[in-house]
Amino acid sequence: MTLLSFALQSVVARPRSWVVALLALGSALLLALGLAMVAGISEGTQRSVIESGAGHFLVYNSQSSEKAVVVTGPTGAPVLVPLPDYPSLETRLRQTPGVQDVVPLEVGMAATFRGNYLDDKLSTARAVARQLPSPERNARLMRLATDLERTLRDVARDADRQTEAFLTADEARMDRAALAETTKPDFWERFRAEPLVALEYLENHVARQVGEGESIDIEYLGSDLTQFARAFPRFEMVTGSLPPEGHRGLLLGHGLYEQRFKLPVAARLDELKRELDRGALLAEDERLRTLVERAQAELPDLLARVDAERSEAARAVLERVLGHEGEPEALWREFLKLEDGNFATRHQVFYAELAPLLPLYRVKPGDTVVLKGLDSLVNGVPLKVWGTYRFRGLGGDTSRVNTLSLMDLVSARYLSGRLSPDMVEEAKRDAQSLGLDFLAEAEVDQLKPATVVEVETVPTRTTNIPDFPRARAWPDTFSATELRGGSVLQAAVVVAPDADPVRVAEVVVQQGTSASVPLATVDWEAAGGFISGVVGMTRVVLLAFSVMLCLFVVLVSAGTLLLLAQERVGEVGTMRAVGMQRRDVFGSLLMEGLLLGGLGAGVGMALSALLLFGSMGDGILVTDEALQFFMGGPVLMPRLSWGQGLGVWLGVVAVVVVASLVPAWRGSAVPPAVAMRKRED
Amino acid sequence: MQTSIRRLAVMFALSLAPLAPAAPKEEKAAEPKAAESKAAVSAEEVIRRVDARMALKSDFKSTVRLREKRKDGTEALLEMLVFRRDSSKDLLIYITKPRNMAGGGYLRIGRNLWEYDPSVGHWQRTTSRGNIVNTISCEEDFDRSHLLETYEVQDEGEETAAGTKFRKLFLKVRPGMEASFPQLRVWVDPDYNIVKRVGYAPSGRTLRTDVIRGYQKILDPAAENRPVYLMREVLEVEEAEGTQLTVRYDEVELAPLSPNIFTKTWLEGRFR
Repeated sequence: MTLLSFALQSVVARPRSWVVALLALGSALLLALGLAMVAGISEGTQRSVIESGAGHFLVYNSQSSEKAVVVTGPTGAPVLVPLPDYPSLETRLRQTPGVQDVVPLEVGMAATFRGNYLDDKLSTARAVARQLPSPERNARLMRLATDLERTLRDVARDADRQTEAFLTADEARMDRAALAETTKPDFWERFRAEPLVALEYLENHVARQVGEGESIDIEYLGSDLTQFARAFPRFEMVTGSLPPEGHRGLLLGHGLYEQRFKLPVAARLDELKRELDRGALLAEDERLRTLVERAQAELPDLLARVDAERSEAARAVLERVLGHEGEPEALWREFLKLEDGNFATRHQVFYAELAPLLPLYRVKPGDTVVLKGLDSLVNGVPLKVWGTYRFRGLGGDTSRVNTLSLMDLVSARYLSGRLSPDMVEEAKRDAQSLGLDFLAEAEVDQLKPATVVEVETVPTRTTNIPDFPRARAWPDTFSATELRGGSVLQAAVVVAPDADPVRVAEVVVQQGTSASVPLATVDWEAAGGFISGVVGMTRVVLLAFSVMLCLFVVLVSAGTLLLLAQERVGEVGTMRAVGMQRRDVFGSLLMEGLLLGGLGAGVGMALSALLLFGSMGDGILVTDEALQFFMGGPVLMPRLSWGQGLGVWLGVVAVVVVASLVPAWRGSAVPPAVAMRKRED
Repeated sequence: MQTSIRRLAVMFALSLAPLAPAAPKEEKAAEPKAAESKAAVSAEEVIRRVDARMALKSDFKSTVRLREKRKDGTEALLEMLVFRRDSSKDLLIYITKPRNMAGGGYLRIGRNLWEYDPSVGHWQRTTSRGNIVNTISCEEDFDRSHLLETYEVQDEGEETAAGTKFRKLFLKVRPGMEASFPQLRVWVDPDYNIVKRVGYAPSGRTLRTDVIRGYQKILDPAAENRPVYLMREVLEVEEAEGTQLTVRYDEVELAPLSPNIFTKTWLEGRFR
């Protein structure tokens, strides 16, 4: 008690020692707030991952070489062994206490390819040309021919501006000649007489000259879509509708739809608007000015995709807005000269009056896209796009989770290369009948002269070319057995609100073991892959920050206390001279550190509690859509439990006490005689 | 002593030469000269002869069958008709098996490579010299041999196996040329048949090893019945995934093909 009162008097008498208390206060405040933020992010990301397809945990076959995920990383989808007898397993899982829903899942990557704008136009013309002749078909074909003629004139005019770096002189000359051919009236006469022949010429000799088109990567989750929508309440359709039960189909993530399927000019305007809404200025931001330039660079593509009638309507709008007449391209170019002063008006005019005249999206609900798996043994899987969806509250169109697309499980299975039992049977039968065998591994490295067989060929014209009945190779529907009876790689388990997910996962694995079913589970953090890694990363950052802060506190506190101890050498000498023991002096100086640390950290904790439960009680608004997924929605709720608060307080006090050890030791180690002499000095 | 015996042997052989039956002129050109020292033939010349032995003047049609087995046990069998006209560099691959892909194919016209999906009547321009139907085979496997045009050749000497000397050559793609394998190593037998080839990435990583198990000798009617040596069966092993593919070229026909075959309209019209 004496020590405490002695330490208290020293603290009050020396305001310089309050620096240590202030350091403790600041550290406790920062650490408590940081911890609360990380806990809030962790909880938010957990909620987001769970509610956007992962469930509370994933079940997969424990014999797999990799673990189940719902978000693929750079290495792609994991290699998983299918779950044995999924229909029975699902029934058993549903009967497990605490399980609310079980959703079969499959993750994968696919790509859809788009031609350039000429490819698209020619493809439309080809479809019309192949229809049975009728006055309507002929009239439409003529309209398309007129539009093509206009587009090709523009291509010919631009051809000289295009780089020919990748062409040999001969190739470039041939390209120019091919383009020149299309500007002659004779060509269009021939087009009218034999459209398919003329189209073939355009496709092979001209279309390539305007670019290669593009490939759009699609990260997807295969599932029972009806059940998926029911199990994950954040799921909401934005356009179109859910495929009816038993129908194959694709739901594009609305984020992906806006970023990759939208007309590039419109996508650039959206990006600019987002940035300007955040307070950026075109005049001050070079990146934004580059976006404006890129929007202008996309102009030839935009103009070529608009037909003649709509182009004229757009021209009328542009003339009215710009206040003068002109050619469409020049008007568009002027319209897209965007500045801070005119952006808002032009953006509004674009969406209100021009966008309805443009093919704003390359794919619309109801269209069919052909998806190719990155490594599957099927060439392409045609899928109807039923609409676009997003996860409500998990960020808008820039959120990573809203770029994830959904498709039915049957199509996902084909895309991954896992063929149906019928297809496997067909392959076996054909291989047997054709007598094709594989090479023994030992033979690969052997060298031996080639065997040559003499073959007689019959020099006659080939006649045995098969025809095929015109039937859809990919049916639009599938049976319930086909959906669940085929291989299922993993399933998301949603746990009831009052159940403990960890306990339920343990029970699921135990039940699997007792039934000799090899089951394993992964929690939301593993399921979220590298997205959940953000939580781990914030934890690491907080830890690193804490370590650096502690080091700083130790150094400054030790320095301050050492200085104070130096000042008190004479005082210590007097006390030692009147009989105070060295350990009492040591204890007194240590108590001083403890007092400063305890008080400072206490006030810091009180302040952080005030901030957390007072001003941040309703959470922190997160306006950046890309961050909303990690915060679990548009509001981040920092969390700090009593236990965590106590931990921070104790930690800070411990750091200050550690910092006090050296000064206390040095201060108490001075012999009384030396200390007295020092006082006399 | 040895020198005089060799000289005698040569003189004896020369004296018997007029008695040998006269072989067709073209055949002679195609067959390697037994007495010719392989080492004396330059690396470029070896590759030129390899290309020449496979060069066609006639149009080409073959039924090609592929059986692929992946590491995970997945198997696929594909059957396709390959039509080729080397004079105009046209190529058509028309898939006939399995059923879900039948009617689809690849069409190359000039610098365009098109892929056709019959289920949606969709043509897709593809420029990559990538895989055919997602197997480990590529367009080059079905095209004419144009190694000398595509690659620069380095001689790596000879390798002897089971008493036969194989010429080993390293090929590196010429600047500006496109190839599925930027680097190749080939082993050529004494009759100028490639018996093994290994494709490498630019980094030197092995991509695919092919063992050519057999050739077929066919007379080319458009070249005065000159014999050509076309591959009959090739075994391809992809290094990274351990995928194995057997490719067999059956029912080869060297006869004029209708020019209509190399059009989109022809492939679209194969449906009844």
